[in-house]
Amino acid sequence: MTVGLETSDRDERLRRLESVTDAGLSHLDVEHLLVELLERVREILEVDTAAVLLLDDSGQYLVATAARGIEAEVRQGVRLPVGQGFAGQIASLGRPVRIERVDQTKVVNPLLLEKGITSLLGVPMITSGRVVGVLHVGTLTPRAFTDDDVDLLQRVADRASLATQARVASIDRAATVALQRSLVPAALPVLAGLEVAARYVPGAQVGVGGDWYDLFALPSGHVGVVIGDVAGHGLRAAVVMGRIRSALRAYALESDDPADVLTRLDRKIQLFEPDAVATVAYAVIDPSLRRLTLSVAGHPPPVLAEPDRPARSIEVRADPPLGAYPDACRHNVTVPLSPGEVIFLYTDGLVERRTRPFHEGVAALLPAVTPEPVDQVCGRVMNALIGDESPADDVAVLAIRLDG
Amino acid sequence: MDLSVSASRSGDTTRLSLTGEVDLSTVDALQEEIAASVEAEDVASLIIDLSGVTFLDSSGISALLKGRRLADDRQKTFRVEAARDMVREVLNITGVWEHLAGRP
Repeated sequence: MTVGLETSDRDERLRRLESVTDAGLSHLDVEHLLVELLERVREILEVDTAAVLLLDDSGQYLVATAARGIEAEVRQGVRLPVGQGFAGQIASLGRPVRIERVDQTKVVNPLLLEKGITSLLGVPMITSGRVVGVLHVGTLTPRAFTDDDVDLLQRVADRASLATQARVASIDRAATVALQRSLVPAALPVLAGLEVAARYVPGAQVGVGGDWYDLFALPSGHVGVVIGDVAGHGLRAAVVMGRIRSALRAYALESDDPADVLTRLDRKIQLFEPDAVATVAYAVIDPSLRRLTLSVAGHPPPVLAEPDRPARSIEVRADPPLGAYPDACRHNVTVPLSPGEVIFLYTDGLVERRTRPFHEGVAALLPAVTPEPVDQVCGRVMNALIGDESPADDVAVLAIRLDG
Repeated sequence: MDLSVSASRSGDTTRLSLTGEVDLSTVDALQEEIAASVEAEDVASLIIDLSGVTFLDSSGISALLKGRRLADDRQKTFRVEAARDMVREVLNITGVWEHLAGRP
């Protein structure tokens, strides 16, 4: 028992705690960092087991992420409902819980009972006022954890949550960038009769977001052209974008009618991604490359540049974004195409600014879109609209020219 | 710039008046405010007054759509009104103005 610690002991324990998480641990990934932290906690608090459970994305379950002395928790992928049992209570209450005599009425995790743990102390891991996990320690012999013990463990938990969040954030960022690169490739397929170029710039404020473009040849000889924007940013938006992008391709195989493809895609999103909202412009170019059929779901209309006349936004009815509400009615517009013309698609980040109305942004865009080689067009547009500023939102553009 | 939300009540109708910019940095607070108002038991109808909003991005549009959906689920009415030209334009381009401003 550690009741009535001398001040010097307490200071010594604090000092040893200070050494946890700092320089020496900075190179470790989250799992190894937590394991190392738990090993030191075991030593400093003289306990037999120590474990970290992190809240999963649903916020409903705690998932065993690192453990010492009770490694099976992690190996068996223990998941505990928030609100129930020992750890679940700590997460829902957001404050420490001590149990001096463990029995079946107080814990739901069978591993704690099997292991023969007698006393438990657990504290919440909190970041920005939100519980993100639980850190708990246990002893095989009875022990009354003191306020000092609670205080120490809480300090460890605070450091662990900071380190965990920082690392998870950096892993998320890396994963988002990798995912985005794989889904929005700089190199586009080479299609006969078409010259294509694209640009993607992550937003200064949001980093990589949910913008994407896509281009594919269909077995019917039609060419599908897509640009879209999933609301939100970061890994979540990139993952949802990946699913929507794949689903659009799948529906494109079944129908050459863009409004029909977007209707099916919308239905899929309403059912499987109920929180997602995405804007999309989807165009299908016919096999002779003489006609484009376009449907727009809440997205800025693409621009058409023909020789010898000013570029214009294609006039198309703005149907609501995908995921906006069920059974939205969707429309097509068909536009004749001629050799040498450029079709230019973009996301709102290109033209949307706080300081001017949307149509002024479009007015600034139109003169930069000309029926010239598409790499030049993309370069000129980015120069005219972005210049030296860093756009707050991410920006994607896709330009297609019909060989003339 | 920030967003401020003030709520006023008349009978079973809550009016949320927004002032400022709705973007990624302010949208979470707005969404919580809308959800709390829709879910209040004695509220049958929610009006979002956009007259003080100078900028609304796609995250804001998404928050308004979610508010409308939540209200539909609870059989309550939800209406957006008084958008300035710049905001109204964005709601038109995205094809959601009629849905958000119209009566159910």
